[in-house]
Amino acid sequence: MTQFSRRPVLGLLAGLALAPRAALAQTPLRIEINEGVIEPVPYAIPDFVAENGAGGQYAAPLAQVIANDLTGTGLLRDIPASAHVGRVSSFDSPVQFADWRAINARALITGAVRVNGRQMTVKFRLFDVVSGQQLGDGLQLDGSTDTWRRMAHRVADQVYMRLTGESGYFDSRVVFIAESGPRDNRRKQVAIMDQDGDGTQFLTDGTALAFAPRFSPSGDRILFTSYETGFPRIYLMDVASRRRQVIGDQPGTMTFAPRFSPDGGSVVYSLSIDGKTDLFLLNLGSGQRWQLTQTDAIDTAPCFSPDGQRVVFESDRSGTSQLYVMGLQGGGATRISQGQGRYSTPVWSPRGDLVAFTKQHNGRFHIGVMRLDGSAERILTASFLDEGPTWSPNGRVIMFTRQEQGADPVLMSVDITGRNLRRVPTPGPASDPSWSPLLP
Amino acid sequence: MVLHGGLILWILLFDLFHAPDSASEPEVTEVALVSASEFAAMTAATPPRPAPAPAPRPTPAPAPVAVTPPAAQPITPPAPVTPPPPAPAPQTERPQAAVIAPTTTPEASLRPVQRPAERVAPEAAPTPDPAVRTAPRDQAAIVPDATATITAPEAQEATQREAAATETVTENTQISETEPVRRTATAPEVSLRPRARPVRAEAPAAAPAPAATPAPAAIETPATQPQDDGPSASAINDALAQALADPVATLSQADADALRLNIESCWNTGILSTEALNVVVTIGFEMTQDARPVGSSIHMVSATGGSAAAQQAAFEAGRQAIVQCGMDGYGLPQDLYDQWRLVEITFNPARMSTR
Repeated sequence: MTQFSRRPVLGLLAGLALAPRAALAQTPLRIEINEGVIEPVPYAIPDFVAENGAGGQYAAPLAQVIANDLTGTGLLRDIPASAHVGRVSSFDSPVQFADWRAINARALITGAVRVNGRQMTVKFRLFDVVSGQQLGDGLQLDGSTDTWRRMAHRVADQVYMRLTGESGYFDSRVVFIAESGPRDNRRKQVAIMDQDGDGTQFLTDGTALAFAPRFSPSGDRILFTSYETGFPRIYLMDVASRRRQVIGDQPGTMTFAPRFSPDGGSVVYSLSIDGKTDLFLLNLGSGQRWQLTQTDAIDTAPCFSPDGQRVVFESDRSGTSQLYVMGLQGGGATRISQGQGRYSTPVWSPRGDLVAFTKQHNGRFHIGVMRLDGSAERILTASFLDEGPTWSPNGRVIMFTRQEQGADPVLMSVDITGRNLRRVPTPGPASDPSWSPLLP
Repeated sequence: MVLHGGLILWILLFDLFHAPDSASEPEVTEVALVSASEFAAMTAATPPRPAPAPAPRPTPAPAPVAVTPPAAQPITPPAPVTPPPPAPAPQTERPQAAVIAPTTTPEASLRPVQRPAERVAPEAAPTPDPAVRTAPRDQAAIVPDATATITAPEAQEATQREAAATETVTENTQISETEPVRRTATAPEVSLRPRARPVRAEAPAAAPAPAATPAPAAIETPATQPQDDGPSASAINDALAQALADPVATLSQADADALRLNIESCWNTGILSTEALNVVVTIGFEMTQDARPVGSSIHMVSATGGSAAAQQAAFEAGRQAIVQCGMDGYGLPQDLYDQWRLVEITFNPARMSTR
């Protein structure tokens, strides 16, 4: 009996001796990684393949505009064509990934263009060179040759979205104030351009000073403030027809700093009377108006939250200019800026998680971002004068006005990480940018 | 006659008691006459005489009256007076001089500020020599020596890491090339903490007598009694001994760290969206015997946080790191292949989002 009962024990022990090796062979080696690198990802975009003779003139410019968009983000770095080993002679021929790995490309964009009369077709594919796989489906865009740049921007948006996981911002526009003339007699016109600085058009003739243009959520209308009557008044303009009308006017008052609500149906703005400046809300459809604040302080620069339920604005009710958040359903305003210095021109991020602002501290101006409770303040820039931030449609980039001492104002952009500070090309001195949403 | 005599006596006696005192005779002083103008001139040159102090009288407390403050006049500050040296005090009572905290509060952080670099990596790296090829690691060049009698190691090319900072240097924080010292960390010269109060000399207290340490209780060890369990008992003992004496060789921590560092150097989070930077993704894959990842085996084991698109982007970044850095093999010990054939890597970018 004793002998019988011990045999299973012997077997168990023998198995025990072999078990660890078998178990280890089945158990994955587990590693946690929380340190990495941050650097631009190298990619290659050879000239698009011209599928007919008329398409030839667009083959290189299309690739160039896309490359400018992607490289301009600071997240990607295009490998110059002179370094390319591989050639793409046909849009549908297999990619020789080894040629692109040899130049350390991580991504490859191939494309083709065909033009028939004034119609053009643009196709593209995106490849992961490391794994030798196509990222997403190929895409084909059809349109007029007049819109070839927009088609390039849309390709760049697709590439950006597939590589980063967030929507792009290249097929968008910017309204701003174009300045010209001597400084003591400045001409300030409302102008509009593509986000990369191309295709500037003037929306006002410059006979009256204009400032602070703001896009509607649909991008088809703008608000701006003009001194046409000698006092600041708010104008609403249809971008396509250039027709405009005064809104929110009240005799004996000054109105300025307007912003659309997220649904585009209302405008929040400042109205100044008898030395007091308060916030008002105007329904564009009914013309009905509500007073949002009533203090002896100056409340201005209001901006809606993306859900339209709250407003962030600047006020000097505490003695210096600070940022406050207020609900439209009532209740008091809560101060969110807690750092040293003066805060102004707050703008709510399209994602709703951050507020960009201008900060003045120790004789320098800064553009920064903070969370809605004022925490995690991050100062991104520093100069003689930085002000007036505006968000890209995807909430990744901030454009603003910079003026160095004794110089003309220019437009700059910076990634919300503080990297990739770049100047936005404009035909001349420029200020007060406002970024549109992605174009339909 | 009597009356006459009395009168004479009264006169004599009265005169005796009421004799005029010579001291009470009026003084005669010579004076000079002055004119009114001379008197006025005299009084003008003479300082006024102080009025006699009024006799103190108990008076009720005056009601508060608004007093016009005197016009502010500059007051010459008193000349500095050198205080006399303090008298020596008994040493045990002398207060310690208070330590005044030096004004070391800087306007900016005392942390060293880095040069801006396009690349952010776990370790900072200087700008590489343009003549040297950049690679994930620094390595010195080795040139084989044909005259050496000992076999020289295989020739290798010198490489340098790309220039990198350990965090994003924004325009607000970056320093110029000519500003090397101002914002580097400096330690204060004296402690900012107040010193401890002096210890007064006290008679040493009698040292307490050491408590008697209880003697440890004797542990009863069971007496081992040899038992004769027959031949099967020795077999069990042999099996146990074999199991304990033949531990499975395991992958060393150094090998695991090398694999981790390899993948870290290829895990580029810069392209990830802010939403994808909140995704923690675990990626599993299989490796060949020469420690290269099998591309088709790479799969997402789990992902937390963010949208599906953000999770996919996080997965792609991890997958690219695994594939890219494993193209030449991870150099793991082949005799332990069964321990690293399957790998699961969790990519947690929480720290990268703040870089």
